[in-house]
Amino acid sequence: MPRPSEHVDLTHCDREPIHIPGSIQPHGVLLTVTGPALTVAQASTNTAALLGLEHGAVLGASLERLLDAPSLARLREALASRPTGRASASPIRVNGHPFEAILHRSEGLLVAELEPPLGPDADPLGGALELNGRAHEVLQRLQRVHGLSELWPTLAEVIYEFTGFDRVMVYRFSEQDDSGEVIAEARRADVEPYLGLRYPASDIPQQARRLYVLNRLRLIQDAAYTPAPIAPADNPLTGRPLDLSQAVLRSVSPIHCEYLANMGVRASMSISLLQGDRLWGLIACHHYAPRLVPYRVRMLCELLGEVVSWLLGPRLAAEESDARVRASAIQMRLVEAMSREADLVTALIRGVPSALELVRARGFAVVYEGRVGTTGETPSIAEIAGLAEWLHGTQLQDVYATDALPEAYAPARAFAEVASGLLAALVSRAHGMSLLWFRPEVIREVRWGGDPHKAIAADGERLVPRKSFALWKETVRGRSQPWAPWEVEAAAGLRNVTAGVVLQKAAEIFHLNLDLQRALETRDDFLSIAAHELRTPLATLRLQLDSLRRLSEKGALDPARVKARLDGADRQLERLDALIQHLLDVSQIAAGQVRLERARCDLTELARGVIERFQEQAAPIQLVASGDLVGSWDPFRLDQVVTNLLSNALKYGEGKPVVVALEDRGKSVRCAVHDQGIGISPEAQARIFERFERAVSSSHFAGFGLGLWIARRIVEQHGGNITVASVPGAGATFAFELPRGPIPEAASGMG
Amino acid sequence: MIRVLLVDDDEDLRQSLAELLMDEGLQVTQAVDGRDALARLADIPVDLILLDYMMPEMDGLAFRQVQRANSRLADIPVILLTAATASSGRDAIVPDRLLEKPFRFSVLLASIRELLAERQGG
Repeated sequence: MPRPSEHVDLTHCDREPIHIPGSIQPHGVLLTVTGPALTVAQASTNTAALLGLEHGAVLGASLERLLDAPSLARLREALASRPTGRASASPIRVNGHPFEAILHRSEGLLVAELEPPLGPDADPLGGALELNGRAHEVLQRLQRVHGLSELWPTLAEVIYEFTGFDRVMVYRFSEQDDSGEVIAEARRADVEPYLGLRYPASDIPQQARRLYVLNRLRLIQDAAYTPAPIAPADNPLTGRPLDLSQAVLRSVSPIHCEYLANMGVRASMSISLLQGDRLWGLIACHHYAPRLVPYRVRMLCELLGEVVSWLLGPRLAAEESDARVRASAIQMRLVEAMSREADLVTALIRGVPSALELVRARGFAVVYEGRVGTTGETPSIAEIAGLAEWLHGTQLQDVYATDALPEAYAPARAFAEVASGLLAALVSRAHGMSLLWFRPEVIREVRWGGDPHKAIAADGERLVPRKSFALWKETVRGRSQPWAPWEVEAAAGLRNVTAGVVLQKAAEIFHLNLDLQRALETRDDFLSIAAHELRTPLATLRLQLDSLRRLSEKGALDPARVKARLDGADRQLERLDALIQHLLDVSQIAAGQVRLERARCDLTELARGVIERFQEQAAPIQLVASGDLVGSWDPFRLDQVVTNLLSNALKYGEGKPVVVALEDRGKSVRCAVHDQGIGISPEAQARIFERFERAVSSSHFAGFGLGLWIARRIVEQHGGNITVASVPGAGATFAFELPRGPIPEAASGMG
Repeated sequence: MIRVLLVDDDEDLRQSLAELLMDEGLQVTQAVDGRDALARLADIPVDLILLDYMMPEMDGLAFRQVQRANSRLADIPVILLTAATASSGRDAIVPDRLLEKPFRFSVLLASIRELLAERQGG
């Protein structure tokens, strides 16, 4: 459905130079004066009717001559009191007739507009004192209202009372299409209500809107007027037509008068409502008979318009900022939930609050790696998947918002009812992740004040506004309420933080996968090695039993030989038990389930104990220790580490001397085991502390290949580190360094 | 008398097996690994080698390669006694017989006799 404004060609109206019409409304007189003597340079041609002076008699005359002395004094005083902007003086008598003079400066000229006074019964407010009282009361009434929604009816009511117009409307322009909607109305009981009606954008042409920003109040005293030209037309100082932007009597476009006449309106007044520099709306007043509102009442209305405009910005900003604060609080809760929950989809959908609550939406969906999670009113899973694919394929922006999805994406016609509005945040194309908020179709019955498609029609050579303002309903389909800027920003904000969480989770999964794959490979190695290690004592055990069987078969059960076999069998069982214990130990250490039992521990004593166990070895072992070597460590675990390092040194040491060196390093203690054996290649050094790694091929040496890995884990659990240095062929040095830890006062030796 | 060279790094296994073999009237020489075995073979004649696979210094495969390359030793039959799984590469040794640990002594004895009978027959 194309928007109404697209039908209308406004070029003509938009080009009409309404600020230099060259004429005024004839209920007053306009004079421009120049120089210290206030000589009349230009005058409207209706001087005879209102001043009783011919146009020719006024032009070139000095106001000093045209005005009586008190009037001239009032005029000069008013000008002096307001060196810029608009001033007024009253009464000003010209040729004996009293007027209210409204004065402003335009392009070097003083523009004086003379309006005839009204009889007391025509002035709804009476005297000036009363006016001040009413202004005060009105401002108090406006202060008492809560929120903007209450403000508008009050404002309409107040202006209605002030001005006595038959109808006062508050009119708001749509940010989308500039159409206007009547959001509040005060009216005479017998006139048709316009509340809720819309008017197409073309009803107020662009240059009129611009003028409304400059000149905040316009009055048409009688739309059926015949304009009074200004003669001469050009400003003598500039040689160009007089700029009437600020003139209260400025003649309006005949098309506008015709428009009013077609509505049956004779007099109208409008007051601009601005949000910053933007024309937010109007207070529009209609009267079904000619009506002149006194200048001072108009000034009060203009002031009210300014006060409200002034309130509008902060109020709108406050309402929006409340929404933003709420959205960012929800965003924070969602990030917490996403970090906590293993599953992002669950976190976004099931969380309290859920992502649905971030913006004003009725449905929310998250698409992530082919999964779709939804909450609220959404299209089907398949429809959402299709939509997400389309978005990823066509949208380059991270956030996409539309209030007319079926227009952009034809398949959405099938689910326009729930999702005419879409706010989409594309989180990650790599993970196919998007966050989608849905707004239902608002089958908006727009009640237009007349058919908007015929707002302006060509009538022969000239454009005329529509004649009928009868209620014209239009059904708008496939559209939702539009998304506010704060909502689009909230979606973008959640998108960014979610992208961060997704990347983090992806990295975690990537590493888990690598670890898992490696674990699977090493598990196979481990099982082969474990099988080999367990089968060797089993083989011996079986041989012992075979031997016993043979002895018994032969009847040669010599007690000494039987005992020898049984002892041998026992030894194998112990070996098997130790191996199994070792396996369990490894799996515990791997799972990080080992608790250190720290106690006061002297590394010298510990190392000496280990070395004693290796005394039978062919290679000599030398212990070098100096300084304080006491710390708070787990003696049983440290014994494992030293035993492992020493047995490796002896195994690979080719029978050459091995040195165990202990060193006091202040806050830490270092233990190094040197051998002079085959050494370790640099490549092997890099992986030697990993699980199931051995520097030589697995077929070469027996053992689980876990000793160094266990040693590393134990050392690291103590907060220390373990290193290797080696020159292949010239031996290796394995060293670990341990922080001492808090040493218990009561020395208990080795636990 | 059958002369057997028993090569295995596991002392317990070596002792148990040697006793059983000697009870059966075989003459047993022990070696702790491949290198040790080659040293023994230099000094004494052997009819049969019982070989472990995974040993330090020189493993079963390395020993077998040296043995086969030496014309004086190449014909000595080898029974591989191994705890290694099939995936370990043990098949590269190409032994005359293979027994997986733990094996029954009776099976080993039968294999020894069978193998030597084949040799004498052939």
